[in-house]
Amino acid sequence: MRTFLLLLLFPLLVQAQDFQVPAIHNHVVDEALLIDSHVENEINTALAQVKRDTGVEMAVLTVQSLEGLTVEQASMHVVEKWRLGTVKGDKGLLLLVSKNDRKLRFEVGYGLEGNLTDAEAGRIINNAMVPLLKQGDSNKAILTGVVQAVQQAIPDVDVATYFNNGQKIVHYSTKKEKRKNKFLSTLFTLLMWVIIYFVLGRRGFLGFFLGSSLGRGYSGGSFGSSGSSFGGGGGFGGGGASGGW
Amino acid sequence: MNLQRLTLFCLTLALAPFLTGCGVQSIPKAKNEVEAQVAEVTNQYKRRADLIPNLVETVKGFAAQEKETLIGVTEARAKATSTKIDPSNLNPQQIMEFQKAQGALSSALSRLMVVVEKYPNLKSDQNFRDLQAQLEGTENRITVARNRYIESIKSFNNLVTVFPTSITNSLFFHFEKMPQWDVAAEEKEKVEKAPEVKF
Repeated sequence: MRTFLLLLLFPLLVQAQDFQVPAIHNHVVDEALLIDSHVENEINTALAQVKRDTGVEMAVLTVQSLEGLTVEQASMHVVEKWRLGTVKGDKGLLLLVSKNDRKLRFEVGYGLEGNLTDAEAGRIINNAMVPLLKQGDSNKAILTGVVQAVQQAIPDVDVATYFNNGQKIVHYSTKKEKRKNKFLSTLFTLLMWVIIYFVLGRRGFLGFFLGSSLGRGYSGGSFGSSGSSFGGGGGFGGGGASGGW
Repeated sequence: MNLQRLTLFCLTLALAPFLTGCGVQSIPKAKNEVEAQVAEVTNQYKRRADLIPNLVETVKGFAAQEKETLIGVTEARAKATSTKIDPSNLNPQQIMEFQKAQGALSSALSRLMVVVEKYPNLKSDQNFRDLQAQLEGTENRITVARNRYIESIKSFNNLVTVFPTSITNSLFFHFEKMPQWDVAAEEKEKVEKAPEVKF
């Protein structure tokens, strides 16, 4: 009987050891506690501004263990769940650091592969981050890695301005355009609803059915990113580089 | 009359969601997806092949005496680039040939990487390290593309063989089950000629 119960529990035990991707609540998700809070705040603020200005969505994840996966497999799991970047731009970027495995990886979205090549990502890891990690300075290693990776990803912008005091110099016009688009699409949705309501609303069951099924299609989009939401469906194809210390 | 047309229009619209479940749309979509994925796989293999001449040149600069290994890589590359697959006409024979050629190139490359270990100057050369990072990145891209390809074949085959979409297929499309990408064949090629490690 006891063995039977154990057998029943066994799948649960196995499940518990799988690599679990945590929920993303901010740009830095520090599960392994490798980053001090003031550094974490600095990175969070800077990356939020980078995202707002350039559309590059970067996240940092530190984990205790990869649970037997390779760092490439694990980071693929993470980006497939978090979906950093947008469907159109694919400008997602992930830095994954595993404390116990002593492994790290940059996972680069399709839209950034041209700027942040595998070779560049490899240089950042091997030349800048690994020496610092070997000294045990994970704060400095991760901050340096983030700054250098973002700088490669957006070569036209001086990234240092984001990180020192949060003041930025370069303004992008995309912001205003986005707001205009948002207004237009909201208006369009509203108009659609009004039409549906007036044309079909009085047609009893059929009208109701149509109204609800069409409505579902249109309500799905949250237009523009408000800054607090993460992941817009960016694509990743396995670009980037890995390293260990 | 106008009312009739409106009713017809509404009915068509109302029935449209139900049509999506029978496979009329999803089967060709899945087929297109498979073709896109196989193109991505060959694209990434090509990317790897493009890196190799540079790599061979760099290694030559530090380890010219490893002629045999370098020639092996160059020959395997030539063979791999001349073997192609046609995404719109996939057959097991073709896929087998392609995998065999790419597998041979993989094993030649891994032999080269073992040889490289003997040359610390080469290993610390920035140019070589960049190339190594690019090669690793490409190998990883190949793995990702291959996994997605395998997934896309699986969902296509499911649509073609599993009820109720299988009925739609036999009525309209007459597609056949696609041959699954067998990674084992590629790996076997690699294992059979595993690099020797001598101490």
